[in-house]
Amino acid sequence: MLGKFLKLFNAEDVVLMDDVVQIKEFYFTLTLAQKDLLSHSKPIYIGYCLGKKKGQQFCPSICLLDFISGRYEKQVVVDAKTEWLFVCGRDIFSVTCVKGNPSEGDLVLVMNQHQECIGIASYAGNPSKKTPIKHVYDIGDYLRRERTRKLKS
Amino acid sequence: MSKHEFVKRYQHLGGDVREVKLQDSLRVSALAIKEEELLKRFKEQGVLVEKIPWTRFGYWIKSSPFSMGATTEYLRGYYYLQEAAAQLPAYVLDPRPNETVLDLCAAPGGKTTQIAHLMFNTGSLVALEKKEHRLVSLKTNLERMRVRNAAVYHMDGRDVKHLGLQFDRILLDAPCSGNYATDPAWFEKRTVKDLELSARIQRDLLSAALEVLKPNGVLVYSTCSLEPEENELNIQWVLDHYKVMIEPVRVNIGDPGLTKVFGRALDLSIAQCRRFWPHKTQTGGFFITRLRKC
Repeated sequence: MLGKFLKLFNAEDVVLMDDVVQIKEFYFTLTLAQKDLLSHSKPIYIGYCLGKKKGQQFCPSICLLDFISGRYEKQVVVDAKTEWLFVCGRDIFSVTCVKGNPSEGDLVLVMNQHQECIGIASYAGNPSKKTPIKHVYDIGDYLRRERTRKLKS
Repeated sequence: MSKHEFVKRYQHLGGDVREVKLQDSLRVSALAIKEEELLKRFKEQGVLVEKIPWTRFGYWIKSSPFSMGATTEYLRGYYYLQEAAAQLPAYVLDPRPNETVLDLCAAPGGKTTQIAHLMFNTGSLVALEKKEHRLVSLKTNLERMRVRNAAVYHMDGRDVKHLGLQFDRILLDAPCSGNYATDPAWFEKRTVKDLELSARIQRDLLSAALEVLKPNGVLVYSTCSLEPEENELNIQWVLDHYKVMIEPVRVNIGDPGLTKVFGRALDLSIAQCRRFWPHKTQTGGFFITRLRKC
């Protein structure tokens, strides 16, 4: 699943797959010392988290998002208001800039005014009320994980 | 025990109980963003912060037009919402790059992420948490705060020797009975029996930590309790049973640890610990000790 995700963003060489381990739904890349630790104990989280599997979707960590945003050119930039709506899981109805000439159906990285990646969306042409850019994943996931935990406990 | 009895007890120890309005605070992650850049953004967003003079990256949140736990900067790991006094134990531990460090009771991860940053994400940071429901927060915070050198185990700190590791430094921010400043109903909930049970668990954790600490290694013990049973009396117990020495807790806030508790004279070196009475420090109650294994 991780390999497929990296391929989508032309970032297969960002991670050495031999160094990747999966622990339950999480993917990590490890240093030699961490590999050694893993060989004689059972951590539930170790090293550099690349993201997690959620159903059929891969949710990249903030570090991986930053890595791929340095390589993947198809991006849309949004203003502060749209940024927050997107982080709350909404589709995008307006952008300040489109980069990398995406085609309809392409995945795009969603960037804020500080050129920081806040998630992933599916491009559907210049956005309007009828054809928004569809939300795929956003970093608000960190808050939603906590909420889900609180509701369960 | 009633509130009145607790008040009498604290006054006997040189403290008091007064209403304290705790201010929210945060810690900037200088590994993720330049401090000045984050402060500039806060200013543009109408967030008013003020440096906490006795921390390196801590700020009081004076006012904010929105929840500080729901901003893009928070989600991108540029800061951690952390009580002011709770920002100190990691500095007192003073972890160095490439060391092997243990955080014995880690969730939700405020101090763990701080230790990782002080180690510049190098070396090995082992974090243990006994309670399963607290692991989600710990893992989420490590990921959000871009920690790369940690290994998390779902494990009771008392079983740490089973990992077969020895550590240069250990933080034991022990589970404790808490204090009235962070919980208005605290006095109604606590009994002397609770304190004794807490103290017993803390001693077990101290023993377990000292067993896996390298000779000359550093153990920082902290609680957010004001009760001597969980603090000075536990440290006296450690001095009585282990070859350790107390080192000064070099922070510019708090009172010296108590060396006389309910008529009992304790080792004078316990004065080198720091005790935070909320009415004096305007923080939650807190206690910090730094021990070195001989």
